[in-house]
Amino acid sequence: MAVLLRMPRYGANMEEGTLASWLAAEGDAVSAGDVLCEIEIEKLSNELEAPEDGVLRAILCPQGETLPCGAPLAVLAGADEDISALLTDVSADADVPDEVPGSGSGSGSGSGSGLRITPKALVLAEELNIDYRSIAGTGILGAITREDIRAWAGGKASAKAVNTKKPDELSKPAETSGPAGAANAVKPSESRNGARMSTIRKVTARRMMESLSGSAQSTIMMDADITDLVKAYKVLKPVFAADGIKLSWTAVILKAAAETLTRHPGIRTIIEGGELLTTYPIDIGVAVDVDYGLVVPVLRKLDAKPLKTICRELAAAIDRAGGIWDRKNLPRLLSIASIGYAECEVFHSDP
Amino acid sequence: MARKLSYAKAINEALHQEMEHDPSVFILGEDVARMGGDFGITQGIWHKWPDRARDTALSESAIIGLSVGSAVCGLRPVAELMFADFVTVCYDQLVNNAAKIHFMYGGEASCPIVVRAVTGSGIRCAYHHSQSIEPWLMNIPGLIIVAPATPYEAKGMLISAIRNNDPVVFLEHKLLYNRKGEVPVEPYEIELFKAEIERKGDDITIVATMRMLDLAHAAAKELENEGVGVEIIDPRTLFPLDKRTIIESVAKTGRLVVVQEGPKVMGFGAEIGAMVSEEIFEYLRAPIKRVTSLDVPIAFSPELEDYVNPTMDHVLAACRSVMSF
Repeated sequence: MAVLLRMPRYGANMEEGTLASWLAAEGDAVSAGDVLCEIEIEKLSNELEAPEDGVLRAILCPQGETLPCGAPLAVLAGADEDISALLTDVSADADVPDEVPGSGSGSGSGSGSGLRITPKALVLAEELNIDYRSIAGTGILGAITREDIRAWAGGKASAKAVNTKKPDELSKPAETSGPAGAANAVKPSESRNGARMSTIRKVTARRMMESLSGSAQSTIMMDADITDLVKAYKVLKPVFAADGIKLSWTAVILKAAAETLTRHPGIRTIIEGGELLTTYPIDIGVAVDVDYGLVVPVLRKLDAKPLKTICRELAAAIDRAGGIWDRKNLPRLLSIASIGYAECEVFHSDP
Repeated sequence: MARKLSYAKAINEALHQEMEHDPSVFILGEDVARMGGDFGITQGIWHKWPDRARDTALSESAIIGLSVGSAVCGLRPVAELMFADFVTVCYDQLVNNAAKIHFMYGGEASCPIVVRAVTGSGIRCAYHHSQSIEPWLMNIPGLIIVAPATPYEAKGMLISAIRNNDPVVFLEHKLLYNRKGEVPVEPYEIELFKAEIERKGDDITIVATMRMLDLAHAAAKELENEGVGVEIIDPRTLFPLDKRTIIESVAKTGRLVVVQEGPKVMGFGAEIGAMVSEEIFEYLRAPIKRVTSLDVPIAFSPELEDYVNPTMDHVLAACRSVMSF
C-alpha cells in the first residue's frame, strides 16, 4: 500500500517545518520505525519515522526546504507498486496542501492519498477545528478514528461531538471552561476572556486534575542542611561548564530524588489495576513552562545515570519541550517543578 | 500445468483424485454410481471403484445418516444431494448429528463428511429445485458452508473439504456447471476460511458469491466508466466467515453492497451487513445496501423466475445510491 508522507505537525502551534536532512535515499528499503528524515521547527529537531515497511520511492521535498504542515514529503510504497496515481495527486494538490482528503463527495474516498480518516472522525475533527493530518491513526489500515481525535483533543472533545446523543455530558464543557476562565482572569471580578482554550491548555488542566484526584494528598515540609551540597555545586558548576554542560539545581534535585526513590521502594509504589506496583526504573517528569501551556517531558532511568548525563538530558528535554507533545510518555510517579526564579518561598502543588 | 475445465469437470476431477489419494473416501447418493450423477458430476468413479460408489434409495435422510455413521467410524463419505432444497429431508441428520458430534464427544470423535448440494435458481426448475439454501445452514455452528464460484475454486475447495475433519456442505451452483476456467492438473487445496478479493477498488465494496459475482463484475465495469472503483470480495466460505477481509475492505471504501441470490429476509447479506455495521460503523460513508432476490418462492414461469432474481441494473442502482448518499 503506497503511503504519501506529509510534513507532520508536532504540537498544536506548528505551522511549517524545514526538512533538515534526508537519512534515507530514494530507492532505499526501509522498515517501520526507521528514521527517514529530520525535520526542524524553530529551535528543535524531530525525526520522521517510516510508518510501515516499504521502499522510499520518491522524495518530494528537497533538503533545506521549508513547507507548511501537511505538504507532501515522500512516497513510501512496495518496490514494484505503481505510484503514478499518487504522484499525479500530489502534483494536483501541490498548491493546496491544506485540502482535506476524503471530504469530497463522489468518487475518490481519500484512500489513495495515504492518509485515512473515518467519516465520523472527519466530522469530529472539523467540529473541533483540529488539523488531524499529523495525528497517527490507530484504526484499520492506519485510519484516524474518533478515538484518535478525542485522544488528541485531550478527551474533552467527546462531550461536544455527541451532544445530541449524550445529554449527560453536555454540562461538562461549561464546568471546565468556567473555573479555567476565572483562573485566567486578571480582574478581581469573574469574567470570561472569550478565548477558546487551546488543546494543550485543556490537556494541562485535565492532567493536573487527574493527578490531583489520583493521589492521596499530604504535604511534608522539613529543613535540610545542604551546605555541603552547595559547596559541591559551586565546585562542579565550572567543571561541567568546561565540558559545555550547564549544571542546574533542577538537575541536582532530579539526581537526589532518583537516589531517594531508589532507596525507598515504598515511595515509588503506586496502585495500578487494584494492585500495588513498585515502579522501576526511576522515571521523573520535569515541568516545563512553554508559551502556550505546560508540558512535562519525562527523563528515564535516572537512578542509573550520573549527574552529567542528567544535565545533558534535562537540557535536551527543555529544548524539545517547546514542540513535542508526547502523549505516550506520561510521568506516573513524580514530577518536579522548578519555580525558584519566581522568588516564591513555598510552592505547594499536590499534583 | 493448467488447462481449461468446466466447473462440473473440475469437481469430477477433484473427486477422482481424492478417491485415488485416500482409500477412506467414498461417494454415495441418488444415481451417483452407475449413472454418474444427475448432473454427471460423479462420472467414471463407479467404473474405477465399484465398491466405493453407492447408489442409494431415494432418501436424503438415509444418505446423510449413512454418511455420518461411516464418518464417525473413520471413513470420508462424499454425499450428493441432487438438489440442495432436499436438505430439509435430512436436516436432522445434518443439524443434530453431523454438526454436533465433534462437540458432544469432547473432540474425541469427528464427522468428516462432505455434502455436495446442487443449489440456486436459473434453469427453470421451479419451486423445489431452485432455492438458495445458504441461510438454512449458516445458523448451525459446526457446519462449514462452502460456495465456490470458479472451476479453480471448485476443485481446490472440494479437495480441502474432503480432507477437513468437520462436516462441510459444499454448494454447487447449477448454472455454473458449464462455466470454464483454468484448472491445474495436479491436486491442490484452497484454504477454506479465506475470502478472495476478486477486484480492487477504492469506493465501494461488493460482497457476492457464486453466480452473483457475474453481476458484480459487470456492474464494476460499468461504474469504472463513471470513475467509481469497485472492490469485489467473494467470501467463498459463508460460515465460518472471513470477516477480516471484508472489514478491511469496507474500512477502506466506506461503502458496502451485498449481492445475494435468495430472499432478502435473513439472508447472508443481512449477517454481513450487521457484522460490518457492528464492527466498523465509524468507517461507513453510506448505508449498507443489499441486492437480493424478492421475498417470494422461485416461480416456474421463466419470466417470473427472472423477475424474482437480482440483475446487473439492481446492482448498479444500489452502487449509485451509496455513492450519492
